[in-house]
Amino acid sequence: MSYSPTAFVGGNTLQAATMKANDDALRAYLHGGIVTGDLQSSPAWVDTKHVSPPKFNPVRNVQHGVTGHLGGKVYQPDQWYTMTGASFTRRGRSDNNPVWSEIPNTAISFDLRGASTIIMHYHITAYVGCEDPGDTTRRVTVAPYYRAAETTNIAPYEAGACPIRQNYGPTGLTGFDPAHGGPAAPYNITGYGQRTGQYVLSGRVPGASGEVHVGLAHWSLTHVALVTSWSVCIEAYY
Amino acid sequence: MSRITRQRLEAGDDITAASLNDRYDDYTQTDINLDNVADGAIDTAQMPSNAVLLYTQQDAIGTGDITFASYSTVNRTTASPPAQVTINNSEVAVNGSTGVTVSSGQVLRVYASLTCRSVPGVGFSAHSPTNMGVLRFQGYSSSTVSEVSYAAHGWLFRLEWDITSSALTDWEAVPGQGPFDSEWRSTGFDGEDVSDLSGTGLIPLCWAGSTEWDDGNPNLLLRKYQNTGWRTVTVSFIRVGSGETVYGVRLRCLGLVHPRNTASVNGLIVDTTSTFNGATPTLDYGPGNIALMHMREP
Repeated sequence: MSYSPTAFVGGNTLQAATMKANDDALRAYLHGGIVTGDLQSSPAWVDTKHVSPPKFNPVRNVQHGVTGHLGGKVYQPDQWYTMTGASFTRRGRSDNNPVWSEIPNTAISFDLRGASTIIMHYHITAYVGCEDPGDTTRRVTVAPYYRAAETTNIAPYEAGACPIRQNYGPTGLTGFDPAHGGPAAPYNITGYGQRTGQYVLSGRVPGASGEVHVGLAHWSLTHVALVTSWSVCIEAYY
Repeated sequence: MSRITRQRLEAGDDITAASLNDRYDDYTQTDINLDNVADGAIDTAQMPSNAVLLYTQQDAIGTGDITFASYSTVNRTTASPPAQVTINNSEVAVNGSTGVTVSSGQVLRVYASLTCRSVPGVGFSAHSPTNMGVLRFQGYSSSTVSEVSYAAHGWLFRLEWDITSSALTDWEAVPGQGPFDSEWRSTGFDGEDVSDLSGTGLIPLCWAGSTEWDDGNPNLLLRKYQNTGWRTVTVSFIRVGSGETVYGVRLRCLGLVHPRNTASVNGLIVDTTSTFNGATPTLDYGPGNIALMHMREP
């Protein structure tokens, strides 16, 4: 503790100055002198209600949250949609050599105040295809990415990637029975997929501050895919 | 803890060194607590960093990468209790061998995702007469029957944890989830109530599609079954703490499961009898990740 009052001893003269010094020390301690080590951590007892609006060092223990960005719609005029596709991303790409590009308009710029841990949750809905029935590589893979600055490349997190495939297969595809349909096969969904994923950036942004970007990248092996909706939820803890 | 109460000095009171010292020694670390600190009295700078987010961890799991040049395969189980497969690299030690203790007033959040695809197998038919979920209607004449399939089979993914052993030898279902290892409600199949599916995820066995509609005619070649292709299954689990120390989490898979209702209770059972026209369904899985967050409740 930063509070250590002078102890009085029996038989000594009581000095007004000593009492005033103790009073001053106590007042200073209770009005802003309590430090981190004075707050018991086990059990931790400080709740949100005990914390005053930050007056200095306003970064520590501040939690940022960003959520709910709608990607696009395709069912009314004048509403926009986001498109991915090999026609503008597949150049030089192959199904065994993923190269990532940002999906337009799916990133959130984030003003980091200091070293932090970021947790990103995302959802994306895309309609993929249809083309070249039977080519099982026809898919779009979406991955979360983090970019520290405008001038740096994106860094997709591939373990958090989600593929969406066009389902439109050929009649008589080996291994499947083409001879049943109608009421037995009641769905007509071609390449529609809704995916969710998560990405923890723990310790990967130490010291980073200023504007960073978190968003969705794609590796497309299909000519066109419509991203009909997406959302990104970000939590940042300092 | 108790509130500091000390009476003011009154005329005629004795003042001694001890009484003065007591007056100034009232404030110790122990006394800076809920009883003696007003709301709004603590500045954020007075708190340690990570006071809200106590611990995070993220691990890549599964097999291979997203090119799927290599992957792992899970076979359908016909055993009872059902064979359950642990996803490669998914037995994740939490915080090394220390684990994290999720006390009252704290929360553990676990998220897992895995790329996978269901492969129904050669000759597969979702509405084979031996299958579960097949309904039959009389056709346009008394001699014909139209079959309708739920196409509702799926592969189940379960999140398990170890709250007993730092050696990760005592895995068990997370709270709110059944282990799928015993008979469900006298049906002859292993399974669980749908109310016991915390921390689980499903993907369908097949995709059933049609390139054009022709009601009542089940035999046009333009309609087909298709495997689901590479996709992602996501599992999440939120736990309000009650003192458990979580040493590890892992992801398991079993199939095939099918919905069932008995005695007005909905459940998922492990289907060991449907033959799918002689096909052998399997599940392939590639890479994925598990993310874990340990937090205080705000």
